[in-house]
Amino acid sequence: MNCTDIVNQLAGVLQSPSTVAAQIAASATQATQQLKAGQLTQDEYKEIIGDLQTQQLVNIEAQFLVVKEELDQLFNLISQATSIFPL
Amino acid sequence: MKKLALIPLILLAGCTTIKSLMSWDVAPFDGGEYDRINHLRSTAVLEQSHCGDVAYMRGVSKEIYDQSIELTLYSSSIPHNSDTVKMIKDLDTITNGFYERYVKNSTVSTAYCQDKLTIIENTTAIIQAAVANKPR
Repeated sequence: MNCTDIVNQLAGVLQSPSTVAAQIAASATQATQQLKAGQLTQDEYKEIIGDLQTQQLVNIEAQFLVVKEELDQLFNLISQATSIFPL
Repeated sequence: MKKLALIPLILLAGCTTIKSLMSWDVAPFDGGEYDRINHLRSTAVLEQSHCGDVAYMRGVSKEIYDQSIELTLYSSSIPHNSDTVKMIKDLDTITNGFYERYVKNSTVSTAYCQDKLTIIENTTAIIQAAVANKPR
């Protein structure tokens, strides 16, 4: 797979409904073009791509945490409601 | 149909039990944690304009890594905070790579520096938003 193939594949992800996924794809596209232009070394490029994968992992973990936080708030509301109207 | 009607009642009755199982793992909002995340994010934003100066950025990479370690230690000390700690440890691997590159190499490209600081900024922004949403 060459740089052009990578950029073409990333173009599909850029259409993603997830803002963060689209931003990560844009960053990966930019890094690939910087590698092609000699602005990044191979080693630096590998690290940047690895970091973008880590950023995506953090994004998934953050979404999971937000769901837990919202469930926690929901359960608090339900607890308050059931204390007023016991089942 | 009668069985179906019972489902919401069972779910409601079980909420207290489910909450007691889940809530132990959601730490409340902590201003100190939020401040440290914001400080790290601000440093990443403010230092991007200096990426052309390798000697200066060597010091900045150490500063960012130090802030990241301080944040890990602080967040790890908060009870029931494992979800946040997991994200911050992922952030540590990014900041550690940044610092290590400046320690081990005499030349570091400007593009690498800018890309890396953008990733640190964006990753801290994701963590910051999740932490801001914690129950007060």
